[in-house]
Amino acid sequence: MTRTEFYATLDDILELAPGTITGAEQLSSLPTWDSLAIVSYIATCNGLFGIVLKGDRVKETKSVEDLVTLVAGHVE
Amino acid sequence: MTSVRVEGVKIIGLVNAIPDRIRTWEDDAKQFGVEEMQRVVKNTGVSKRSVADHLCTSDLCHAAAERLFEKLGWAKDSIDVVVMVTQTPDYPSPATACLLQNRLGLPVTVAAFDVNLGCSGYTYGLWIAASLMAAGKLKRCLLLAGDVVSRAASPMDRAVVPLFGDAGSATALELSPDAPPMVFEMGTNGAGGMFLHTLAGAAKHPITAVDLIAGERKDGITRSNQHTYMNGAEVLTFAMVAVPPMIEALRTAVGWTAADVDYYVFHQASRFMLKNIGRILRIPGTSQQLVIGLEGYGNTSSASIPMAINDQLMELTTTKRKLVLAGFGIGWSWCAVAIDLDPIMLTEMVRVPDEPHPGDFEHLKDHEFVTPPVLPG
Repeated sequence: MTRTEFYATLDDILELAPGTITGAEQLSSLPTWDSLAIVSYIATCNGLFGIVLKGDRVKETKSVEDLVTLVAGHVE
Repeated sequence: MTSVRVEGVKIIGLVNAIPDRIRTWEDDAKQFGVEEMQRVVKNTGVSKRSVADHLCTSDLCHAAAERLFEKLGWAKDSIDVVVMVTQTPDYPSPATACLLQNRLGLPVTVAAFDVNLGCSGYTYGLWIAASLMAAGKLKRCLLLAGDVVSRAASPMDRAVVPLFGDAGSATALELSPDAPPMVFEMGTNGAGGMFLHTLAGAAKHPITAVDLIAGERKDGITRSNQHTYMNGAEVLTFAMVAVPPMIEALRTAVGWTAADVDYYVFHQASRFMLKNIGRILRIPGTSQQLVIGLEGYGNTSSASIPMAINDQLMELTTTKRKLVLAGFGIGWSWCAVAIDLDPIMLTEMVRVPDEPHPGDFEHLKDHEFVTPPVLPG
């Protein structure tokens, strides 16, 4: 998956207008990044990339860039 | 995964029936709190549900079937087979299909039986019905699918109560040599049974006094052993892993591209789950391809697919559409079907008064105690 596709996926998870996420965001600035979004993120990565992320590791992330790092190798 | 192609059977129409008792999210908020319920509604997409205090699955399916016969002008004695899909039968025995043969006034020559499946049940039911008809050259089948899940839930279970509603559906199928094929894809993983089940009430775990006690459990939910147990996180994980490959395999089997499908009508588990499955399948949320039709009814188990069709796709009465229907859940069990559907009969949902029914066998003299028992308390 390209970075653009990955950001579009995050837009969808966070229920934001397409093109909102550009990669530079801090997660604390996104009000819809909540426990439900974390569950969606984990489930989506499982479905799209076949990887099982640990909830604690996702909760520790601070930025969109951290989320990309978690799925390194699956996002170009 | 098994892939099956059934030729020569057509869906003619379907009718749904729901209890006339409505429970809104505001009603639920009195019990679970406003803030909690606002969060739940955003997640589930369910703001109100039709629920039964008294009605059984048979009552809802009976009302749906009567309306179906009336609308199609089908004679009762033209039915060859009744397939009844439910996990909330009226009695432990006999089969609800047998009760309904009698109540609907169907001929005694009809074949009728129950299928014990829930969320995957409607599509499984279509496969069973269509296969029987094609193999035996049976002309007409009545597929009934319904559940009164709200009656099986603990009233104190905030994960289950605000999500589930009750409904019964009746679908008419007819042998038709020129019908486009139905292509099915299905599977089962019983290891998932531990995450969604009812513990007490059958041979492995007959009901004893302790099973009647609703007490707080270690998962934080107050319920009895007769209530439905659900591990929501595991249900989500299962659906996300099982459903997308099933849909991709089905599209390959039928030879459709993603864009060929007009509508995906999945089991209406919750808005959150449907959106997540849609994302994996890369169905854009803006495309209307992914049908979400549970807002006013909740997750209605085996009736949720016909309910969503009724709620969102009235255009099917006039327009031919390519549909992918997919049921998935309790078991784990899953089944999807691709249908190039000719226009069908759809009508307004039947609203059934939620009143007590005297029961089919309660009046029997043989059931009366010789010496009436003294109940404790």
